[in-house]
Amino acid sequence: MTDAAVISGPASGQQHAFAVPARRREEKRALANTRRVKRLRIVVPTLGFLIAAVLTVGAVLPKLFPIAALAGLSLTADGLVMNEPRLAGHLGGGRRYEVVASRAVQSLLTPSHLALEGLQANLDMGDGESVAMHSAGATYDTNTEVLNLADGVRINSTDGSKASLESATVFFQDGRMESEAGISINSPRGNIRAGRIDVLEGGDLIRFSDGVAITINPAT
Amino acid sequence: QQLQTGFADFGQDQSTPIEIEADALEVQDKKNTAVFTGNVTVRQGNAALQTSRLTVVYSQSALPSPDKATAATTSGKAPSTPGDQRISRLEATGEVLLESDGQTATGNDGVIDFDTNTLALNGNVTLTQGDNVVTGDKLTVDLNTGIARVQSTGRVRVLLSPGGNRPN
Repeated sequence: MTDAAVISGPASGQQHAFAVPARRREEKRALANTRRVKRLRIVVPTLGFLIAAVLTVGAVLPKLFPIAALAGLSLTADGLVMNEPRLAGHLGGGRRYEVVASRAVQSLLTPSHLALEGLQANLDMGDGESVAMHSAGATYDTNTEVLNLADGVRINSTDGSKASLESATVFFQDGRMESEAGISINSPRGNIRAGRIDVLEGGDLIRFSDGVAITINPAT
Repeated sequence: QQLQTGFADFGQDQSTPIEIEADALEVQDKKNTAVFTGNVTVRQGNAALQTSRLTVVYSQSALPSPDKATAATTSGKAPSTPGDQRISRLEATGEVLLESDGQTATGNDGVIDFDTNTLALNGNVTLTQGDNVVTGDKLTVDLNTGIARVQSTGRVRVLLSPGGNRPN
């Protein structure tokens, strides 16, 4: 059974726990992403966690706002500011996720436009591994479901894999992600550098271009 | 024509990293393949492969069954990426150049099959060992022994330089 709880900001210290019907669709998407990780990891050992982290964050991100609106709110010139919105819950198979932002601002002029500062997501991958993703700044459009991670993305997995992208854009409706500012993945198994990455078909097809260099370390 | 070459165990050194460079790479999860395109070079130790397109085919299941798995892994038959992901074939198309221990082989396209442990080059094949040159239509190398066989619909041509060591 999947459930979600919002732990509100320090200001009010309350706890809300309820399931929103619309959540089922997003969590199914998040579950599919995580299952793909296992297969993808088979094809290219170092890639799986990168796709999971970015695609799964987007699957749970839309839930952050309608609920978090009850917590830690303040109205500023920037718009509706939520301090430290935090969302935790479980994906299928009892795997925990938690998405936190140090600050989220919902524009009053364009309410679908959300600016996130200090976005941090922690995802349990189920086989004893977990992935942590951090982005200094991101914007999310709830209409187009486009997550723009303009201030870089750092992804670390407990299996020792690390990925860094200068920027990335995730198009959740198309199941697509792109980054043309270079990507670097390092792991005990090897590393990949490329000028550009496109993740297509929900992760079934991944294209590196603008120059690719891969090192596969000997199996230990 | 049958020759002893230095291509034994080509690409199967389990102790040295594999370096791959290309213009682009496409990983197709459903087909278990990764396709490198554009100025593709693969290096491992003193073995190298250059081509314009390289398809890396991973084996369907990680390994068929525990005992075969252990045998295949310990016998080092195929380069396995860590995590037991076995590469079963490398398919190179578009002007292939193989180098190993100072010997080179070129052809239009080629396949390294780690399941059968064979290397095959097809079309305009030239095998060069020092000053000796062998040309034909098809080159097959048994990667267990390094023994190469060159075949041709026309005539296999062998150019031996005087005083050079004869291909035995």
